Amino acid sequence: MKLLIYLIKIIQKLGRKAEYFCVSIGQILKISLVSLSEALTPPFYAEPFLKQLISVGFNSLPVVGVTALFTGAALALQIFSGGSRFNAETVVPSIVAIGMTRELGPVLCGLIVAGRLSSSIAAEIGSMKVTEQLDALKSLSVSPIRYLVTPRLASSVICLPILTLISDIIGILGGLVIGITSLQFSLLVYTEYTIKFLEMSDIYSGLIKSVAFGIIISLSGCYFGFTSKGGAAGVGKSTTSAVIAASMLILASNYLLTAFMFQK
Amino acid sequence: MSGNGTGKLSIDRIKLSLDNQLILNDISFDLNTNDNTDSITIIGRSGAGKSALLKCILGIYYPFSGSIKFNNQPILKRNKEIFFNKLGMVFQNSALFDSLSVWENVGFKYLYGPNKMPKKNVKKLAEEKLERVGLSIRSANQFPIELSGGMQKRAAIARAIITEPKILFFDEPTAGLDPITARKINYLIKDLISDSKASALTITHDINTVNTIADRVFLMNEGKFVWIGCRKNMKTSSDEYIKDFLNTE
Repeated sequence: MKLLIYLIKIIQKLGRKAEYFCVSIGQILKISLVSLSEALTPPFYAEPFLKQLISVGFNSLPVVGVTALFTGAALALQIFSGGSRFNAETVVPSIVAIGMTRELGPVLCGLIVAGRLSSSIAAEIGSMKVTEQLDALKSLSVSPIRYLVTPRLASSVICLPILTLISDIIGILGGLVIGITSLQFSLLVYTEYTIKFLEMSDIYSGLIKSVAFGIIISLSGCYFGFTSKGGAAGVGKSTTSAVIAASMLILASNYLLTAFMFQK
Repeated sequence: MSGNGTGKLSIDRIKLSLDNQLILNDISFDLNTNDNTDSITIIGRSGAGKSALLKCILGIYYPFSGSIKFNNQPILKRNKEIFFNKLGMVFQNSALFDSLSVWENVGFKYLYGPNKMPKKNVKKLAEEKLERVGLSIRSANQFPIELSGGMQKRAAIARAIITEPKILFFDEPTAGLDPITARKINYLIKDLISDSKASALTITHDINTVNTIADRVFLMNEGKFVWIGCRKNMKTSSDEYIKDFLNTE
């Protein structure tokens, strides 16, 4: 009898988790669709959008740049060290370029921006929710999704590919600096090998990924902000959840997109 | 209690449940919104369901039964727009937008709402309203965080009256204020209601607010109205709930 009650309790718990999961997916889909439809229909809020462009794009540049620079440099050292085991040191420029453009550029940029942005979006919207500012928006005939989500979503979708491109360039430059100063490459040879083996599809694939990451980052922040409960502690939890969810989804979607684009 | 007709906000037998708890149980009343000003004050203890009722009218919570109508029509689509154009709301904690300056908060409805106006005109109008509620023009360029609680409340009132609405909602307008500031806010609300010939629905547990601005008083307990009457009849009422409320206050 006790075992039966225990089993029922486990099933109830699982049921509740499944319900919560389905409701969350439904809410994220709803926010995405409403946001998309409101992004395409007037009124458009230029000022909040421009503010977000600066916040997402310009303010993320230093941290994205520094991360890419050191990653590119470390990657060059690792490939040189690994490649020297089978006399393939010359692959350093091309592998750094391909690695940065296809994987490390978009993924690191996505994860860094997720840490910065998902948390700040969730905290901002969450604190607006617990202080009734979202209700105030509705009472002023302004849709919270149009005013808060659409500018963030649009700016993330625009800024992430640009940041990724910058990250790719800085990462490759990081490799180049190490290649010239520590690995005995000449500037000419390193540049030639980088350009020779890098294809446009490598760059495009990273940029396509970054668009998906931009959507994930902004929607994750907005969803956890809108579902914040219970004052400052609730906002703190939402902030953490937003970053974790965005990071996990970035890594999972990175695999799926890579499999889709490169698996033959 | 409820009725049909124009110039009326009609709440008819609404029931609201949140997290499997019955918050509002069979609530009905009418608020006249034509030229005859009507000031209803809903009083009751914390958790009685007062703010939930206001949120139902605003469309933030959805009652599972009953209806909320404006001008004899449900508050949906076009009628929702009309209703919100005639509405001004002051929230419990002022709910000013932190990232915007005070004048942008006050003029928000004209900056981002359906009836947009040029920024310059909005700023001028916002400054006029700030002066009307007793705030200096200097405060217009400050941010909400730089204002005191009383000043924030005044800015929230200025935001509510910028469109000269015919319906004003106040959710605990004196909450968190010292007695002197609370008294000033009560008289400010009274003046605004009579000057603008607006109808008001005020949620409060402050007996001074009731004495200053109420025509009709509804006492709410556990999601139900347990006493309804004129403000003048409150003190002479033999109703246990009213006695209890007045003694507590």
